[in-house]
Amino acid sequence: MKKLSIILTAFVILLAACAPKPAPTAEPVSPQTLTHIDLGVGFVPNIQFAPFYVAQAKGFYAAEGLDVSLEHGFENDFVALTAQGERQFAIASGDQVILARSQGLPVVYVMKWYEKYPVGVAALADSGIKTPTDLNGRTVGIPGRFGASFVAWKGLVYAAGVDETSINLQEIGFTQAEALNQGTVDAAVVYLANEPVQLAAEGKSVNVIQVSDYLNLVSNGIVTNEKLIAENPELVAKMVRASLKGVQYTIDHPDEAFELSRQFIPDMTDADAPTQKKVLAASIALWKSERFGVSDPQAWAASVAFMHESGLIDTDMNPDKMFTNRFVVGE
Amino acid sequence: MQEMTRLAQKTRWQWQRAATPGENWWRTQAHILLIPLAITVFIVLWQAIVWLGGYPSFILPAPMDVMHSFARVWADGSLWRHTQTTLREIFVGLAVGISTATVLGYLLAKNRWLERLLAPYIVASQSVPVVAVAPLLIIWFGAGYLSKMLIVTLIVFFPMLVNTIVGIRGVDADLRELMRSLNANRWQMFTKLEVPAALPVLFGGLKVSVTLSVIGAVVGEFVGADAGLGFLINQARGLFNTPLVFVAIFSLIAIALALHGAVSLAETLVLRWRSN
Repeated sequence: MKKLSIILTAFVILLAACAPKPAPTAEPVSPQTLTHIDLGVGFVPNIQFAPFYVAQAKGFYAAEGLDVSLEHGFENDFVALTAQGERQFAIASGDQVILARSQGLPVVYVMKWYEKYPVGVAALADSGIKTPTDLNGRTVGIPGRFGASFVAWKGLVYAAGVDETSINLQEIGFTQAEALNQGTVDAAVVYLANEPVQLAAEGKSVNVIQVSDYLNLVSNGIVTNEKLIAENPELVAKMVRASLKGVQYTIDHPDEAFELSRQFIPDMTDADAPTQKKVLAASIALWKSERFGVSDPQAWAASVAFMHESGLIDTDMNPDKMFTNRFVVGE
Repeated sequence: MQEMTRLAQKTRWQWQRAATPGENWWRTQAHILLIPLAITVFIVLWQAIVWLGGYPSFILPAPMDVMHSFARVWADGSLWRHTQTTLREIFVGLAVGISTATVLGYLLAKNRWLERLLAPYIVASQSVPVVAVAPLLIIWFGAGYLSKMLIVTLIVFFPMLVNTIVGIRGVDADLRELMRSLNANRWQMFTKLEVPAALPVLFGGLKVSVTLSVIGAVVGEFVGADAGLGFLINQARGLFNTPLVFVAIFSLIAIALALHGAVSLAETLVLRWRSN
């Protein structure tokens, strides 16, 4: 009897383990003819990815024969997977493309998404910090000495007269809002659409120093690998076209874009919605551009020069192979 | 017939003669040669995989790429600097964690009422994954040494505590009786019976703790740090420098092996002394 009950228990556990996973409710059903694309992005499902949610929900991708879903994780891993050909596309920042190419990864930036680099330094208004030079001699929190935050920090040091040696730079992980509130740091390196909005929602008055005001640093866009461009340029063109439509539509119809995106962000509650709407508005301010999707060769040259002179890359590189505008509509 | 007998006798004589010192060494110590052999086979296999798969350096670097990366960060001193930081966190965290665990373990082993009172809290605290608690510790204690040392302390505490309790409780009741009949006082019981009897189990706990301490240090550095081997892995990952990630990983393996070996050596010496 005891043996039988052990066997039964094991069988039940095995059955439970083999149970099919419930289908994700947020994804629309896709017909078999669409090409599925996993777009690698960082962070978690968030309103800042609205253009892609909108392009998927409004059928811009379907019209081009694509079915796109976002895959969240560590951005650099997706760039490496894209370089290897395990993924077709990823979202990456210009500095990541420069770093990747300096290590021999054959990635190419095919569509500009962000016009302005989305990182800056925030400080509570009563700290008296308004300009980069006000940071000298103070304590600044940074998520880590790597990634977009670190590149933006080095950008301020390079271009805005910040004296790095006088500053106490502390690695605080993603706890910038708490660190500023508790006063453990005088200022913190933040994503412009995140912490400033969050702190303002708490009723705090915040000063923000934007890196893009001092250095023309290439920001987020869609990257792919050289092999896909050579073998299937049509796919790249379709992805770029539909994604740009998504960006344009989000900027033109922010309220509708917000509502469409909510189905992809199950964790957003109605209580969060007003703040998240402000996050979307702050992000749109960073996406607005005179020339959508078009990469600026001068911005690339400036970015490479900055990274080389700041010691972030060992050798000076030619930016020409790193980006292309041939897939952007109208070029 | 005589030939056969002489042959049999000769074989028997060969079999019965004492082994030469060379043969003796070969029989008992030759397994040490297996270590460099295993390492060589590992490197050859690794290089074969890279060649056959045609993997680029950022996916799976070849052994030579990792060697070059190692030479570079060793020469400029940065590897030693990061290693020192991690070692400091490990040693202080181990010291605090093991000392508190053994003291508390002894108290809990002797006092069942206290154990029943505290057990739920201790077990609950260990059920929380350290990775989840690490960001909280960074918020409360900052991103310096203190938070990393606390993480190491937390991760080594439980195994050492359990081993101490088991070791102290496992002391043979007959030996306790014997000591009591010889009028041993509390201190003599402790130093002459309980500690020596619990030592094997304590060393077992120590071996587990030193391996976990490396994990604790790396977890802490992943969440918030500006130096250390865990930080180096993050930094290398951010730079697409996979050879450097390998260098950091191998350094961590070396640390864990060295600590484990040191504890094993201490165990052999202490227990040999015990039985003499």
